[in-house]
Amino acid sequence: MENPEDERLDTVESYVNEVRTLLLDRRSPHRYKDHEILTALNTSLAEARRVRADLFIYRHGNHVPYFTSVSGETVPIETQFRLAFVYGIAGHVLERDDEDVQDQRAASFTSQFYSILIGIQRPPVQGGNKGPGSPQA
Amino acid sequence: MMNERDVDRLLNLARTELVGASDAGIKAQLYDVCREFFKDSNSWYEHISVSIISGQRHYRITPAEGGMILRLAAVWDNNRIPLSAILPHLDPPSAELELVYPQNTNFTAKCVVTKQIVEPTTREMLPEAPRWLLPVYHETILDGLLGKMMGQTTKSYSNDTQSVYHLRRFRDGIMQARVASERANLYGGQAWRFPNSFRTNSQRGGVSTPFPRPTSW
Repeated sequence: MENPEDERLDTVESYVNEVRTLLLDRRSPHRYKDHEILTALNTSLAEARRVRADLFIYRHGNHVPYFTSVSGETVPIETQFRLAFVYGIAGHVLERDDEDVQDQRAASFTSQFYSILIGIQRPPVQGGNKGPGSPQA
Repeated sequence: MMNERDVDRLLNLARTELVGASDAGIKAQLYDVCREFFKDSNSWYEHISVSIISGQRHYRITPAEGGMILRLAAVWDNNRIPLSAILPHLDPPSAELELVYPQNTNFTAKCVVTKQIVEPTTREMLPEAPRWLLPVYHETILDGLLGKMMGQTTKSYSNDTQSVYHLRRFRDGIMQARVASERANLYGGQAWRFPNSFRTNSQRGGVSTPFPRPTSW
């Protein structure tokens, strides 16, 4: 029997960790600060509200959640859409990066975000490189 | 209220057909589907007792089994004689019952009202609909749900052709429910009856006899 508490990507902290994995930024000092990833999370939520308002239908109200710290606070997104937010956050973080080499990867992640939210088939991830701050770099 | 297993079955089938749909979106749409179903089929009834007081014409009636009062089907006195009445004011979930003519004795009347779902929903954001809805009209509700979801624009599950198909089936299902309700679920029931204007509750004008002329025996 599955334990619902074992679900991943249900808290702010788990999103940040997953995004850091995708960006090869797991080791301190981090290239991308917590507040940058939080900004990307909040921005992705706002954008998702625009294209998929039904994700924010609650029993009381339909507000877009907003987060100010990396904590165990729950991000109220249904399981099947959580991967979209990982890509959305990563894409936004890379877009804010001043390295031109990241642009293609940022566009690819953002495209994944939209494909999961309003499409059926996900496009392939593109623009791979060694990644700044990566232990493999 | 609706059985959990029936709801799970409905939602699981909807999820299978609607790739990329959110549960919250499906449930929100289910509310509208149920609303349209009950509003147009008049299939959700409740019998409510009203204590009639001599000389008083206005009464507030409230459903005891969920939903809101939508229309008045009939009012009878304690001898099963119909009383003329209207619902001049709806105040969900209640309504104001107005007897057209004041009565001169106290008695308990029975009124039959048709109902509609109403907010609030359950904790799971499901409408408070009667238990029989899904066992009896599962296909109709599923068609309504799929049709309305597929009719949305710019979604992964948008499909105009399928939307039209399912909504047509949904409307057919509503009409079947309406007829079944009017005939009280009687198989082979009479499809026609005298209009309301033929109704009478007195024998003024003559005593009924078995035949027009007894001499014709």
